[in-house]
Amino acid sequence: MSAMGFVARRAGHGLRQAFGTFLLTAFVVALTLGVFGGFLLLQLNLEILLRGWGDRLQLTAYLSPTVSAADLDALLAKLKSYPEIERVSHTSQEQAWRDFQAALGPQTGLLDGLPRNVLPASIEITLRPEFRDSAAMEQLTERLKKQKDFTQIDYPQQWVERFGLVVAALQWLKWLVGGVLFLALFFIVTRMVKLAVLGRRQEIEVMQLVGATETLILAPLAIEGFVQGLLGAGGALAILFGVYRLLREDPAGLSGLVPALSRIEYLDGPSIALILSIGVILGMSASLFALRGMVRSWKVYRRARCSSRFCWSWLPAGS
Amino acid sequence: MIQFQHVVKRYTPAVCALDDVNLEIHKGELVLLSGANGAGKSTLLKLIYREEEPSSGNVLVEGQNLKSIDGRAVARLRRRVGLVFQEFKLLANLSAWENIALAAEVAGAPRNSARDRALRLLRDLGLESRRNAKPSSLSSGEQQRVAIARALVNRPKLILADEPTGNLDDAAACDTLRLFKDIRQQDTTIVVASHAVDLFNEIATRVVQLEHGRIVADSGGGGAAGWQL
Repeated sequence: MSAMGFVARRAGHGLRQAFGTFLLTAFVVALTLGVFGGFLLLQLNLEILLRGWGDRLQLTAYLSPTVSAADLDALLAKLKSYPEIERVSHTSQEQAWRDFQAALGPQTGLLDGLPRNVLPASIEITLRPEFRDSAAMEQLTERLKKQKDFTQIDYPQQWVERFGLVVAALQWLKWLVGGVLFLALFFIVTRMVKLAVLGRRQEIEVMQLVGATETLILAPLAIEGFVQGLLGAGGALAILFGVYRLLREDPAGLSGLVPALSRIEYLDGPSIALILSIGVILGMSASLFALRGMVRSWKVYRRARCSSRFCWSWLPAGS
Repeated sequence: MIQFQHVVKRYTPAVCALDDVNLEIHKGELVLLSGANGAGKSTLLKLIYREEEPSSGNVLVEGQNLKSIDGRAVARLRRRVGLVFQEFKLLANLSAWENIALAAEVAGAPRNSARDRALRLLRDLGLESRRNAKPSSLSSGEQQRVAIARALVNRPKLILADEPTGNLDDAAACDTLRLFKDIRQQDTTIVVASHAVDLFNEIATRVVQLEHGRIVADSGGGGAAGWQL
């Protein structure tokens, strides 16, 4: 119990004593994580946008005039059982006529004299997200064409191909930009925490000389790293929330240019958890890695003393 | 209590700090290590509290060979040894009593007990009124007394002091000397590395002179009286 109390007191003492450095480090962590979080926010909203576009990718199967109401129910049930189909909706001849009229608007008079059953009934088929590509749509079209209930199957082929390209590009971009940003984040945060920790080298040396074990030396600084990372990650989430609110409220009227801005979503639970975890893990691990080098070898400390004029030269070897 | 058996310490192939040192220090002795800069005095002390490892040979403290011990055992060893340095090595952001209590807490003493022990030592050393002062507001002599109090707080059987009077004026050096004298009377073994041979000659029971990493003179257990450079 006394060891735990000692560790907690040392951590609290360390935070109070180097409060300025602590805040500065947490601020840098917040900014860097904020950029990474901004990328997550962008990616999340692009995915939502794509999902919306994907819902519009539908196959239209035009029904043969011979299909009765009873046949139609059986047909709809059969289509729903296909693994690649998410939902189906039936458009009757009457509904198709009304939709066409609405689409024509003021020119609706052009339809005068035409019989109301001139347009065929149809079934709109929406595929599950994982089947929204050109190959899957082509395959389903071929299967449906073999059925005598349909006279024609249509789908917007060019649209589907473009959509597939956008989805693939986003997936690559996610890993590429995300990876680069994460590496930058890792290096900035670890360097920043290391610099803060190296300022404590005298304390660590004294602790060693009075017989503190490695755990007793590392634990308070790991706790400080944890708090620093948590605060930095919290700060990043707050910054992102501010940006999100600003875009959502849109005081500059940007949504007129980019309509999707008015529907922007904030980070989801897993993304928030990811940012908090990265902050905490980086804060702790950067402290521990910087310290382990110092605790295990005082050569680092000696080098620091010898070349203190060159502040970067006392970073641990290989850092 | 301490044995050096054919100890060699090389920092680089060309720099030999200690060369085939054989030495036995007995319980209750106050041994003065003397010699010029670079003679190997500080290295010898560092080998005892295991800041350095010998390149060859063995260093034994209370029968324990320090060559094969791990980090935890090094920590345990240091809790049993009091260390005093020329540059005091006090933590600037802790008060006098907190610096002393830190060593007690590291050794496992509860906070209150560590505080009581620290305050008692400060009273014994005449620093009670300075208990809350930070090292920067203490004189060199006061800082060294605090450092000695920290070395004593775990009631060690062995005290190692590396140039303990190096940064002190004559009056403070005499105070420090008096403290070591008092400590020795409690049957504590003390090993001091110092240039101030004349000063420590008064109280040392034995003087060991080093030169280029070798022991060139040892007054033995017969005390320092009559021993000359």
